[in-house]
Amino acid sequence: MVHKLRCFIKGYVRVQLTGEQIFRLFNMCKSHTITLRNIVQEETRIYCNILIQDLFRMLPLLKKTNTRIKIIRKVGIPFWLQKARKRLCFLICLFTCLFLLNSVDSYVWAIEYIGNLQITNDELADFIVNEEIHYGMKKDELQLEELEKRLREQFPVVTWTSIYLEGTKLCVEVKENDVTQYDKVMEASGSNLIATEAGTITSIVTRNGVPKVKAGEQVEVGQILVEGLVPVYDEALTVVDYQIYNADADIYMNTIMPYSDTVEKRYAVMEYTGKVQKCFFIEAAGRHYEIPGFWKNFERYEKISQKWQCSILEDIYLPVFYGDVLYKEYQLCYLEHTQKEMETLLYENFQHFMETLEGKGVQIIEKNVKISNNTDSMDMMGELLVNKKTGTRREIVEE
Amino acid sequence: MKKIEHLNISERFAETFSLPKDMIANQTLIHMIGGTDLYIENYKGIMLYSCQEIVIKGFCCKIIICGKGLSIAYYSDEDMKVSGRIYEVKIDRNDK
Repeated sequence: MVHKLRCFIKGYVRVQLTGEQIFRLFNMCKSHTITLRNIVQEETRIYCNILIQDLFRMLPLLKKTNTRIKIIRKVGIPFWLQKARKRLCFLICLFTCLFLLNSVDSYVWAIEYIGNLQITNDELADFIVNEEIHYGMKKDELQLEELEKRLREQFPVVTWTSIYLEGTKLCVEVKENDVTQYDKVMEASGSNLIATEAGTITSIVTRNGVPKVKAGEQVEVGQILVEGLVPVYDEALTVVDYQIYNADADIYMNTIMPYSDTVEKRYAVMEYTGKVQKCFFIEAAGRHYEIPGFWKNFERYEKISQKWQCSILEDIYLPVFYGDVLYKEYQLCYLEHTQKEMETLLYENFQHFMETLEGKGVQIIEKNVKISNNTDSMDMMGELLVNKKTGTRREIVEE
Repeated sequence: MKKIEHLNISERFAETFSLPKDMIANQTLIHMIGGTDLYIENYKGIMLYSCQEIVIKGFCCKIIICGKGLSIAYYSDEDMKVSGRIYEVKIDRNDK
């Protein structure tokens, strides 16, 4: 097998030998270290394989022995290359492609985030940028284990992470903890519940900690509602120690919520002229090429583009992007609302605002809003008296 | 000692010291695998080749290979391989 491969690389010919002194030729070949292969006799002719380099050395021997030679078949890479010379351009392209593919494969051309729910892709992307990882960097420069460690440090919510390469794609896979690290930290040092806005407490049901306010009491922003430090008394009702808890309670309060909204009388509307231009684009090496180029002189236009990254076998991402762009021309038309329209709009916005509040569990007790008409706008301002849940955790500060 | 009387000096030397005779006494070495492949080393040249018979010239004998569809897989300065259906391998000694 090795011999066959070597012969194929070097190139050999199948020759037909005829003459009276063929055996003498064989023996002379032997003494000149010329190897003959696959010698077969057919009638008076003898066929054998011989390497190209040996063929030239054999020529004087053929003369001496008066043997005639006829090349039957040419096999091997040298002959293939000779034939391929006609398709030189194709070959150059082929080898260039292979070379480029090989060189491109050693860089990172795509980054994917998997398994993140609480941490957004943007946050992970910022982390990756801060770690000086970017598209087009060499795979060898990546220290994945270090990166995993730093990611866990930066995002305490991440309990497990795996950063690996799939072809030219860097995959950042994370698993997040359902119990946030915030709670864990609090568990260690304890926390108070404090008021997030001023108002009157309507009800308080404490599960953990010492309540500091009662229903009907007025509280200010930042005031402690439930304290996490629970005093331990002795028989003489003297505080001997404190137990630390995470304060937990359902506290509802009545509070004033300001509301304001404005509708301008004059407003702009996009009116499409119907002129569109579709282009295809290719992005490579930081350059953007559009085919055909955007040549229509639209004064105002909307640009809608779709972009994809080139990849081979789904894993090898190339630094080439392609897509299409749709340019739609529009004009700005300025219209004016009527008084009734403005009122309707303000009322609709207000309704929407109230629905949103109710969706968050806020009960609206009283609403006091007024519409005021200006020369070029209409305002709706006022206050809402709402009953909502309050109290946010804050770590106990040791004094 | 009577055993090795018919041998020449180099053969005796190889026999005495248990050395390979093909190296010391320049003897032809023949390996045969089944009835299809025959390897020959230390030979002078080829004397006759046909599909039925191949005659190889050794240093002190002729090796006659008889068979059917005989071919020479390779023929080099060191060794050669004969393939085909080999029926008979005869040694024709020059000194008889």
